[in-house]
Amino acid sequence: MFIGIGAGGLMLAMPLESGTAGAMEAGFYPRLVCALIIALGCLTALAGLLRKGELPEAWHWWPLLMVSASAVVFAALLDIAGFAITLFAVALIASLAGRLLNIWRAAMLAGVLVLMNIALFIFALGLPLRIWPRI
Amino acid sequence: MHDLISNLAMGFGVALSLQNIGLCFIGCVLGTAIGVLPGIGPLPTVAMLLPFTFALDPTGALIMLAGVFYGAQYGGSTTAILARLPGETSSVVTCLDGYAMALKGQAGTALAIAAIGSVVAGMATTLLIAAAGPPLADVALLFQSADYVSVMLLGLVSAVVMAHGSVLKALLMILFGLLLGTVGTDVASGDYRLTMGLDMLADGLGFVPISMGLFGLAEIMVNLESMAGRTAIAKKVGSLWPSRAVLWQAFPAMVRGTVIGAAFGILPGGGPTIAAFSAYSVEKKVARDPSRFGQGAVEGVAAPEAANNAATQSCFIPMLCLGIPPNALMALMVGAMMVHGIQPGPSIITKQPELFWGMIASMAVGNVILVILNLPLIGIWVKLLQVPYAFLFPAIIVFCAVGTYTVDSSTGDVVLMAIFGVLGYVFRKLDCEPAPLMLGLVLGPLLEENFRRAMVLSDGDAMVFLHRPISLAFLVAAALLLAAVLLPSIRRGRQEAFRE
Amino acid sequence: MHRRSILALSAAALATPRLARAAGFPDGPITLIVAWPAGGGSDVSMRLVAEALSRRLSVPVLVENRPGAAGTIGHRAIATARPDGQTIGMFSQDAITAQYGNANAPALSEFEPLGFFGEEPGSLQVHPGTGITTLADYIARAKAAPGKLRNGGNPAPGASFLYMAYYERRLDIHVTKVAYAGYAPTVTALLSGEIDSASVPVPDVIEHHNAGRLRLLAVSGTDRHFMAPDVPTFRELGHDVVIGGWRSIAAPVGIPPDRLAVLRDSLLAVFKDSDFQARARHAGFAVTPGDHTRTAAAWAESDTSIYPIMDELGLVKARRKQGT
Repeated sequence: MFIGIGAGGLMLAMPLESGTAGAMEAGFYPRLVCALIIALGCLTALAGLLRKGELPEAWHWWPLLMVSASAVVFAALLDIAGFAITLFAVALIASLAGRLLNIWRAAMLAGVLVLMNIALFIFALGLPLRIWPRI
Repeated sequence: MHDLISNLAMGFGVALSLQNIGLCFIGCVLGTAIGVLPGIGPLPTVAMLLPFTFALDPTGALIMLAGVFYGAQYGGSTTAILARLPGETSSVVTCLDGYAMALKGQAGTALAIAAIGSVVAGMATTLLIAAAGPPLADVALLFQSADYVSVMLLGLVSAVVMAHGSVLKALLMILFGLLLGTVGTDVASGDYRLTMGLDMLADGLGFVPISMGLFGLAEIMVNLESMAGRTAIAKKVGSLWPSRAVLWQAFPAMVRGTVIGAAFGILPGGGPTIAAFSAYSVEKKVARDPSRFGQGAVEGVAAPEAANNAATQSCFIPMLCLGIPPNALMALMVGAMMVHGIQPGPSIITKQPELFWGMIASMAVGNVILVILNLPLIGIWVKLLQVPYAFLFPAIIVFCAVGTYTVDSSTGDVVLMAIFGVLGYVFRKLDCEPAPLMLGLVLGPLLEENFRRAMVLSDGDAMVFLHRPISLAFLVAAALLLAAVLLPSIRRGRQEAFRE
Repeated sequence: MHRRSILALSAAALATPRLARAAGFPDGPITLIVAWPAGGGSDVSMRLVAEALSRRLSVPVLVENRPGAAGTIGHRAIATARPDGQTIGMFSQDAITAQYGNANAPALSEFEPLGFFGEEPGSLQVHPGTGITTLADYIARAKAAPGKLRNGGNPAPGASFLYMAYYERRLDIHVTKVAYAGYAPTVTALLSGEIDSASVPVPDVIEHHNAGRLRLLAVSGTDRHFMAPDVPTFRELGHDVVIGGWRSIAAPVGIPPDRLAVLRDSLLAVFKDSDFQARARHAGFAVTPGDHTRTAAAWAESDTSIYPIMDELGLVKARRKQGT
């Protein structure tokens, strides 16, 4: 499992070297950091190999997917659909991540959250956000 | 001494006028509210309030804006404790043990300790500013680029101490943070680095989206997979008030935190952040049983909260006494002064003593207001934890998304938050702590900027770090600290290797 | 774009008697985009403008800070705003430099000039510990040991970096330019003696000059700075060095002419208002009112003078001009 980090360090370093090769000045420090990451990554990988055993716990994809999806949906919808519809969608997808609520209760929760957020961010704090889609 | 008392008396005369108390109160309330909401920090709030203060006299305006500032600092630790959402860099540390305490049903105690720690530190530092502000401001001028490099290194090393578990992993996380910190515009040459052509990344990765993702979203993902039996974060809610024994345990930590915080707050740059991290490491080192840290140790909340608040107050020193803002928020305060036609600088103390001493006195008033305001709120916050998680977590996600968006009005930041949420989940699975990464991210750019500047100034002579006494002292401290951490773990590693 | 704000609405309620409006414009709050963070000189000056303009047009004028990428994010927000006159923004010489440094930055042709706020000349100041008391001393020291004197300022191609680069060219000297992320850290470093000199504008150092913690040597304006009447200009000292920054107001291209006229007239009236000038002066800004032709002239003038400096220093990375 540690090799993952080591490889990650390497992978991160790869585009970097090419990206900053032009300006030696600007590239010096990131390269230094990357070299250290690679070195330590290898060391960690080595230690991991020596010790073996202990596989990572099982991964749960559903919450991972839904929680991040809800944030991405927010970003994608906000400029098009306005604050209210976006938040409703986000809250709905987020509730689905937990699979703890049926769809009606989730929708109710989403509705309440939308109202709360509009009251808080737009009316109380006066943030410049559009509530409804631009017609 | 006599001067001090008469000056303070004048200050309180100003700060305790009905109008100024009212303004201080409004500032504190707004600040706390803002701090509790993830994302929106004091910076945009103060910016939003700025035009509103046109109608006020300058002293009142500054008192209100300062109230927003420390109110927000305070509110930030509330979400850190309740939902593992650090809204401010400096409350990343509070997450560790504060949230652990909340999980154990001690959210009330954690919040109360944070409140008490903050007020103790706030009062002590206010006195310090009053007694020794101007000479302390000159201390900030003793520090040069090379010295900052050493201070940052000490801060980074302290993050290794802080992490429980593998030292190697903590180091890796710091380095990863440093790498993330290189994204953006290179200060020395103005070149864009690792921005993938996105202007959004030209100023580097924002703190808020990353911390919301790594801490907040990742926590939700982890919680959801183990949801089977649990319906709320903490089923039982213990007593709201810390027992006398707990207070007794936390008090020395508060004092140490205050001293560390006041000292680092004067330095420009990562003052409050380094202060909170160092205070935590110090506590862990002096504790008889360091393994309690991360599992909900009271000292782990008391010390960083005290340090954080002390630093928040003491960073007013260079701003008020020299007109030099040590961070973006103080720069905003300088801007507020300019709007009111006050040129911030050394002459402010002699030319406008009412303003200077009034501000200082208002800090004391503000701290008292904050405690009065927040202690009763603790009960409400803790109740929130009993809301079924099925309802709570979608709300947190929505708040995170809106909060992150509002920082820079950037939807890209929300995507960034999602990416780091996934990353945070992976880190959890790999048993890597995100806190050292955050410190690397925050200090990385400062470290590089000062390092490169120090090299330019010394004509490329690396010995400059050893020649300057301040720098040398911090380097030695960092080396000692690192040795203290590494030696036991290397020994342990060997033993394990032999066993196999 | 609808922008709602309780604060702004209350500001509108406070506004003085309603003045005549042209053909239903403006029909809602006006957004004034500032490409720099709140609290800085640009922000403070534009908030003064916003307040006065709001009074004159009797609609709220909201300052929106869109900092990032050396102003590029905010400048692009101005250039790409809906051209209905409800969104305007601050335009300074940084927008001119950005065109050549960053391919993503909007070009000069994407902006419509509205009005000219004022100039802020560059200046040169030293740490008293250097023993330098006059500009002549400074030049002599720099010539005696080229690259030995260390001057602090913005990273290239920021304003104070360009000022120093220009001084070097005109005075035929060479100093080591050290980059700081803003004027505040630059001034701190100068006060601490980490650097020998700095090239930041007068308002940022005047308090320290008066307190004797640093010494202003010269101002690169056409006239002395009103805040530092004791400091000579480069010209008075026999050097033809005039460089500085300026602030103006711009809008996206394509605004209907009648609306454009309303904005231009109201801004000029605001800038000429003596009460406004007094407030701005109080906050450290010298207002030199100008209409849109003056604005366009300032843009063109900076465009022609800055480009060669950037080109010589290898800072031109986009929109390279032919034949240079």
